[in-house]
Amino acid sequence: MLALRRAAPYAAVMIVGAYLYWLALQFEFPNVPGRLGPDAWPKIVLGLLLLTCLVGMVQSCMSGSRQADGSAAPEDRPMLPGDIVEQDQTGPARYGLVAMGFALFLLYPIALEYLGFPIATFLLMVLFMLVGQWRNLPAILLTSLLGAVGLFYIFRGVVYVSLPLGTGRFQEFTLWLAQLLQMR
Amino acid sequence: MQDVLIHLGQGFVTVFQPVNIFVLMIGLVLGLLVAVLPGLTLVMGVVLALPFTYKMGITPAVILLTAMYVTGTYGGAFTAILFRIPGEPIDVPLLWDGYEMAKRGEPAKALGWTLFAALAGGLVAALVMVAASEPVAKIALTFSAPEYFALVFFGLASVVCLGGGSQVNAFISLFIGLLIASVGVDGTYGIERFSFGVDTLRDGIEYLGVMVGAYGLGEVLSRLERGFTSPTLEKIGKIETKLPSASEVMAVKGSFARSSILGILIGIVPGAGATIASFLSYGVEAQYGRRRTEMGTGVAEGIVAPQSAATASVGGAMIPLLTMGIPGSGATAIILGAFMLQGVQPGPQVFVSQPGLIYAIFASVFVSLIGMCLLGYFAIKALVKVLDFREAAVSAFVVMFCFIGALAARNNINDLWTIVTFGAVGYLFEKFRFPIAPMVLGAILGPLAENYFLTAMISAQGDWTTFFTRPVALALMLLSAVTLVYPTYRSWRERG
Repeated sequence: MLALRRAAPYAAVMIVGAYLYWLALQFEFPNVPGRLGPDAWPKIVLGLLLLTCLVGMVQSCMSGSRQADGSAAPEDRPMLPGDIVEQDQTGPARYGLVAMGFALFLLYPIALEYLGFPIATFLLMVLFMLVGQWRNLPAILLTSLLGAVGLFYIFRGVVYVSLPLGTGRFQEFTLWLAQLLQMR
Repeated sequence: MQDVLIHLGQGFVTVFQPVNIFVLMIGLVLGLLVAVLPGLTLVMGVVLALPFTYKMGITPAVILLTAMYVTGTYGGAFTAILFRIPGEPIDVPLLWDGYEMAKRGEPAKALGWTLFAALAGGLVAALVMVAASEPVAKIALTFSAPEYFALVFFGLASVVCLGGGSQVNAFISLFIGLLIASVGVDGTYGIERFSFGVDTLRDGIEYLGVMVGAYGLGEVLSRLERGFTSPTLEKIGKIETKLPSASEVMAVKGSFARSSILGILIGIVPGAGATIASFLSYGVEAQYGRRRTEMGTGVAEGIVAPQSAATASVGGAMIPLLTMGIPGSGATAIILGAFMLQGVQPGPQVFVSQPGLIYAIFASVFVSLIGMCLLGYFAIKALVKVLDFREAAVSAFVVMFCFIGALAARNNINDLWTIVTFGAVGYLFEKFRFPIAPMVLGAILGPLAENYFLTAMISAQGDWTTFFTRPVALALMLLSAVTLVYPTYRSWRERG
């Protein structure tokens, strides 16, 4: 079971690699004799990737079965992917927080288009700090407000980055804020 | 040599122009802050500063990032020595002797040794950088595709083997990076590779997106997994620095020389950076140093070795970047990105076409070293107060800088998806102990490697022995082979 768990990441990469290799075989291009095509480099890299994954899988299986037999101490072998769970010392992993944090990252580009930079940024910062276990709401709101407006001012007004304005009412708000901050 | 000194003098004049000295000072402060905060690494800090450089001229842009890079190797020493909080992985070896010396009641002395080691190691490396760069650039001008491919190959081999941990995982990470670089429309034949009909992928995946995502968002997610539980300061007491006397310095001259040379060499090797320099140098000192049996008990050698090597690696890493356009470390990869965003490809030609820019960068390293030490000596007490900030708030700003950085590069909102994707990849890599550095270096050097490989093969009419029949290429390929085989051999021997 341990061996299978350790081999799983290698198997996953191997499956994706094999699919990409198959795709590389389908590339269509004018064949010039004696000259390597655009498929050559990806095929070399993918071939090496598949080979390395195979080595990783064999190593994981052998190490896992040795450990199950009690024939090898954990420190006798190189670090393997499955080891991570046992080796972290800083407390339990909170995958729920990671999922929420990642969901916020996914939502931000969408929110940015519709809400515009200042509002989307303010919301992301508030929610991210809450997800990050900070519970002082007035401080969070103040930090987020200063952060969103400050970043908007610095990057639009000083560095001249074209930040999304949003749509409809949100666009009007962004433009109003820009005017308030005396930006062009 | 006279030309070099004249150019360097002009470089100092450029650095002391108001705009340049202003951005340099900002870079010094930001570099120290980034180094002090445990949630931010040096590379991440330089990544976050990148969006500020988009609208700058190339000289201030590179000066800002270089100043951050220099100070980033030093600032974390304070928190490592005084509070046992390593701001950077670089600073971990300082816990073993630096913190012990502080615990013994000599914190000012420990900080003094750090300052001396950073300044002296950095200056020696900067001198080597100035003296060696032009000759190296001249040699690089004679290189053809096989030599360049062999050099890139050596860089890729080094990043796999010097990173520690599982070599298999490092190889997988590297190959994934090389694959990322091959996505998009092929430059020669114009066919799409692995783009799946998606417009964003058709244009290729920018390595900056890979870096910002994996190092920035990925690291934030990894820390979020632990609920942002980094330590904070209970109280900031008296912080002062006491420099070592001349006789004390003379007593550690061997350690200093060994570590500085090692730092420069590790910096030059593409793919290895300050962290490897710091650990390796401590290891060498513990094995061969005069006081090797006392290492770990709070001896000066245990501070001088990692700190001088870490700062010396900066000068070393700038050599391949500026002379061949090949980054020697994560931070120099971002500086390379800043060059390219400004339309300049570093390499031997830049020494001919823009010597003013190159020597301004050299001069900025010297000024940064001096400024770093002055800041460290006089202002560190104020700077370490950033440790009182809530990590959730700091991370929220880090996330925002990542998004703005990605957005500002091409003004394309689709680039945000790239960094979010690589944020997840970075997190999973960390989780499953796949090193991120080989993937990033693969994504950076992938196009160069493919281009040089195909060009060499066309020139040699498909004869792959071209990489082994030219002296420089052969030497580099042999060096790569040794780099790849030696760790396996060592591990096999250790197992008996």
